[in-house]
Order: sequence, then C-alpha cells, then structure tokens
Amino acid sequence: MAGGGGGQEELNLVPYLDIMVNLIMFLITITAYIVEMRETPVLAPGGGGPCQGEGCDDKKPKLTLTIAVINQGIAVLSSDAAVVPAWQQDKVGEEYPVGAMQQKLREYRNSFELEDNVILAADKQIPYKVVMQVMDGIRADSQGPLFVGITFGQAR
Amino acid sequence: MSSDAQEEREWSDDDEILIVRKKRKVHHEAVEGLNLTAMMDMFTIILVFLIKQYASAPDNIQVNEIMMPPKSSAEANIQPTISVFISKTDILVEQKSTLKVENWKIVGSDPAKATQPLFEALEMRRRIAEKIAEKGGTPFDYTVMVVADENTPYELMATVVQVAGKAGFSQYRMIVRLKN
Repeated sequence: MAGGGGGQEELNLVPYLDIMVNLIMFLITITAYIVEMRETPVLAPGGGGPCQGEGCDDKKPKLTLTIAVINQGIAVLSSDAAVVPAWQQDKVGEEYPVGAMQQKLREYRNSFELEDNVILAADKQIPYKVVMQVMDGIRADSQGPLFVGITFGQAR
Repeated sequence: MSSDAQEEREWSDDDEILIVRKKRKVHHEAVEGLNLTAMMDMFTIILVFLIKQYASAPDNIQVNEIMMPPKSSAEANIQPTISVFISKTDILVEQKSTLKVENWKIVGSDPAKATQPLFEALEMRRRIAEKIAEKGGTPFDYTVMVVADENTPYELMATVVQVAGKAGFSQYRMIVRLKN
C-alpha cells in the first residue's frame, strides 16, 4: 500500500514566529526608552488677577498673589500689602526655598480671601527648570491643592 | 519444568525489552510533534499589546541634548495641539524653524521685529485651525503647547508666551518630563 504523498503541506510557522519575536524585542526596547511626558496648564497674561467672569462678586474683591522668582530667592507679594504682608526668603546655594514658599502660601490661603489664580514672574535669567519647580510648589503641597491657575508675568 | 521456567523467564525478558523500546519510540514521536499554535497565539497577543502601548505614547516630542524639558510633578496627559519648541538653537512652530536662537537670545538686528516670524507662523496656524473647526473638523480651543529646554531663561519663555498671546492663543500647556 502506498503511503504519504497526498494532501496539502502544513504552513511553515517558523519564519512568522521569527519576525514576531524580533518585533516584540524591538517594541520592548523602544518602550523602555520612551520618556514619559506630561503637561501643565498656564493661563494667558491677563487671565490671572481678579475674577472676570459670571459669578464674580464685585462687592468682595479677592486679593491676588504674585510670586516672584528672583536671583536672591522667592518673594510672595499681594495686591494689597496692608492686608497680606509681603514675604521673601533667600535661596540656600542654588536651592530655592520652595517648601517655605508652600508653607507661606498655605498660611495665606487659610487666612485670607484670595483669588484661585496667581501671577508668577521671574528675573530674566532664571532658568525654566527653577520656574517649573516653583510652579509645582504653587499648585499643591502635602495638604492638597493650593492655587489652580498660574499666569506668567513679565520678566523682571 | 525447569526448562519451561527458564523459557518463561527469557520470554518475559524479551517482552520487557520490547515494551521499553516502544516507550522510547512513543516518547521520541511526542518530542518531534511540537505544537506551535499556542506560542503563536501568545506572541500575537503580546505584539498587539505592545503596538497599542507604543501608539498611545505622545508623538513628535523628541528629547535630546538641545531639547530637555524640565521635570515636574504634573500628571495630566498630553493633548496634542499646535506646538512651539524652544531649544538652544531654534524656536520651531509645528516642527518648522521660525527663529534662530543664540546664547538664549533671539537672533535679529531689530529687537522690536525679531519675533515677527514667530507671530506670523502662530497666527497662520491659528487661522488654519479656526477654518478647520468652522468646517466641522476638530474643535479649536486656542491652546498652544510649549516645549522648552529646562535651561531656557524666563525672559525667552515669557517672550514666546507673549507673542503667542498676541497671535490669538489664550491657553498654554507647558510640556514637562514626569518626575519619578
């Protein structure tokens, strides 16, 4: 009795598996080197300051804080210095006092009626990374959110 | 009787040898017939998963020595929109160079007009996005995405943001690296 010779040959999966293994290794390598990026919103100049929309109570204007990143350190100013006193702390070496700034902002937040938006200004040569550190400190501290909206002010 | 017993013993020995040989043959056949279907199924699932993960990563933001955004604790995912890149050598709008930068200053003979190309490029992009939105395309929320190197001086950052504001953009999203 003759045997074999009839029927279709089976599909050769070896090259397909070879390609898939290479692709998987490539994608795993790529994924490991992808830098995770995020975004943080900033208001347009003029978007900060006093409330400018519906629901604003003109009879009780809230105070606006300005955080200035200067060469010496960080300063917190308000639109009415008689009510909210100005604060400044110098940097230690190259470390800006972001923690101390957060404590002061939390204290002002709990003590005064303040706008949710603040103005952030900096000296001309302050690097962006320092500005971003201060922005992180303005948005939230260990107790929760501080100021949601940040507006870039003019370079000093 | 003893010869019968002896014969029986020999027969049983041969029989045992035959059984062992049969087992080896069966075992050998089982090794040859490896089933690749399960492995192929697993690889296909892993491949699709990795492709989806790679596809969901934000695109067109290349990090290198002239473009290294600062780290931040911000957690919001990036929403693609019109982009402005500020690097050590150029200011680009949608991947096209509009201004040259040298020592973190915009190159230009007249400082008052040095940012004009940037303004024109942003205004053009805004008009295009508005027309697309009018025709029923992607809604335009007047947002621009700013990607800047971490060493960019605040003066340059503020200038770019100011020019974008004049070009009609009202919201800005600063792109940062996720802080581990």
